[in-house]
Amino acid sequence: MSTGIAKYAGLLLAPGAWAINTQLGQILPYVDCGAGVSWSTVASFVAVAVAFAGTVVSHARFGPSEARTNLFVAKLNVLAGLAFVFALLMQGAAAMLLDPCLR
Amino acid sequence: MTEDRKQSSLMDDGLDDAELDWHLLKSWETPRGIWKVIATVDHKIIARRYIVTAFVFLILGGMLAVAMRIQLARPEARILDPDRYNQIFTMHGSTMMFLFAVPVMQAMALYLVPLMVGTRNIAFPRLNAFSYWIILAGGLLLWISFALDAAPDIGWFAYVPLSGPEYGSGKRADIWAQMITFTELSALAVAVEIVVTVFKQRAPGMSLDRIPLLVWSMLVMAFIVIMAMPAIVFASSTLILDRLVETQFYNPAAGGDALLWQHLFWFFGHPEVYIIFLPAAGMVSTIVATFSRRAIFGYLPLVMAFIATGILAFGLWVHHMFVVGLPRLGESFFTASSMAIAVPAGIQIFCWLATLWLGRPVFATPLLFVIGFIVTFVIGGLTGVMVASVPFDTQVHDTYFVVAHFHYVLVGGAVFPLLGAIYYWFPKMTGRMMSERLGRWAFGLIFVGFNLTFFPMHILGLLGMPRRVYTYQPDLPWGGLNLFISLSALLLVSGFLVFLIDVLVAWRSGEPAGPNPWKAATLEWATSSPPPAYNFRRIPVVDARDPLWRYPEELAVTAGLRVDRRELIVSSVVEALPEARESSPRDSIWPFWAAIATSIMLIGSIFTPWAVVWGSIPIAVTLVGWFWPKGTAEDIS
Repeated sequence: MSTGIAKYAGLLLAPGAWAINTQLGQILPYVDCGAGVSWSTVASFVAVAVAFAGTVVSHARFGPSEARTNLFVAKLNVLAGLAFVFALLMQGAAAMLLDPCLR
Repeated sequence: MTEDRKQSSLMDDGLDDAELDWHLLKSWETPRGIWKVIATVDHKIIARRYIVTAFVFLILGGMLAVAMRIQLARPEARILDPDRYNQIFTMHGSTMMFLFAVPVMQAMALYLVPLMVGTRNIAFPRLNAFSYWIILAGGLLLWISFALDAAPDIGWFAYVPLSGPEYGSGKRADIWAQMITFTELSALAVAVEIVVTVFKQRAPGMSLDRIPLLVWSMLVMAFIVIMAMPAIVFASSTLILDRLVETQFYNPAAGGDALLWQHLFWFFGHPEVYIIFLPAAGMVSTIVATFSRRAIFGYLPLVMAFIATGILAFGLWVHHMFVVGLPRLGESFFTASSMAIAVPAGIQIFCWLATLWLGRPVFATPLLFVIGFIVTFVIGGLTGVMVASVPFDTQVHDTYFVVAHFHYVLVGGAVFPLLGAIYYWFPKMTGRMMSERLGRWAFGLIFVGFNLTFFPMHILGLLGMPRRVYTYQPDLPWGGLNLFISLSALLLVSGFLVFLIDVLVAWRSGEPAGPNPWKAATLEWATSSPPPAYNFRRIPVVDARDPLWRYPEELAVTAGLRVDRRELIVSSVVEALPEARESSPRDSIWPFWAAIATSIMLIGSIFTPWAVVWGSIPIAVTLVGWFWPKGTAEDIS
């Protein structure tokens, strides 16, 4: 990832993963119920990993030589990324706890 | 630009202050005369119109609320018949959400954002003028239909099939849907203006980490509008198509889907809450810092909280649909996001409390309203966490518990900060101070009246009283609480009356305010009150987050702008480095005519689809007039 975009990784990957997982949450329960495999759980924790990766990439931009504004953007991305990691962990927990066939 | 033109340009660097003011006024001022006033593109004049119009709609919507409370004060009352009651609760919700809350927050942005970022006008000022006339037309459409006893009666979210052709007879649902179209157009126009102004017109040096928090909040709000409004554009358009040309988007019998309406509406409707709340959060951040006499605690987490809230807002909509029979696991994902959004909300609350704790708070009226907001919004947030839980929501769905919850969130989360913001920025807008004594009375009456009115509604909901019933039987256990609520509403109304009296008296004869009566830190206070047509004599240069606290005596300023035409600085997105001098459009009557033509087309299309075809011609003519070069200096970019 180019260094210019890297500082935005937390704000691109984490909300992106969360948005996709939220949509999958409307689709996969029907699949899970029939298949007996919790793809919702798998998708949620893959999304957690992607969101966390985005956060880590942004965090890697922290450094004493970084320009003030770049550092601000990187920190903003790390904090936002963590917020979405938390949201995705909650979705993952729900996927583990609930029966996908429940209506 | 040719060499000749360069030589004939009058620049600001060789002029003294008096000469500069004279030339700038000549270029930027709105001339007198009715047509000139209609043609103005001054962001401050248009924003003031928006604010006054929105408060007129607040008063009208409030009168409807009073009518409902009089009807519900005792069982089996016959003051309002069921049909009129249905119209009234629909009008109340639609007016408050679409004609008051969203426009007034955007109007505050229209007034404040250009001043706070240090520019001379909003981006796309003619579009701004157009947006005002459009929302005015939408509001008139709705309220004239009410006066003619033909107002929508389908609730502010207009669920199908009730609003569809099967059950919604007459033109009531069409009027609602088209009123929505007017407000969408207006809101989208303003949102685009805000985004471009914040990204490209900031004063030199105002890098991303120096943008005032109110501006950040308005920027996020504008992005939410741009992302959310297309869903309701699609919804209202397809509803009209179903009703007018017999498409079947929402008819399950013909392959449509009634739930599609709910998904589309709430994909817009839930972010709408944050369209209203986030500007309020920006106002609170500004007021708390000013009256704590210190920089805001946690600038970075607050910016993150605004952005995270703005994104998470799009993952909550199904929590309005927990009883429609979706898979429980899918619903739980929305519960998760609804709980997760409490994190950025909590961060905001703690940052504001920490600022107050670490500062030396001065409890003037704006800060009192902010404290009222914190108390009320936290209660609304707690009941929000409760209704985010599927089992609890299933029990209280469509009861007065939900009515209590969303009034705590919307009035607590938006109206309290807005009233505080009016007290705070009224001196800037009018040059006069509002009364501190009347302000304290207004706050006390509104705070006590609001809580006495809406807190008992939680209990009514738990006792099983459904929303939107026009009356109830005497043997149900709701009579006493309803009477208490209706009496308390009078207290709330009296608070708003005191506020309005204060506004009118202050506008006419308030104490002169001076440029910076609160000794605040942001750029809008660096110019006179009210600001001149050109906002700033010279565009300031910013090298701090709180420029007026860092340089209380004199700000550094730029030079090199033309004064014989409307010109402003275009700067880079991240660092706000100056990139270009750009002309800003002159006043024009064409946005007004374009709004009239658009209104005729939209209202005509309620009755015949051919109105879209024939109505497009005058719209095209007005747009040609709008963009046709007029031979002014501003035509050259």
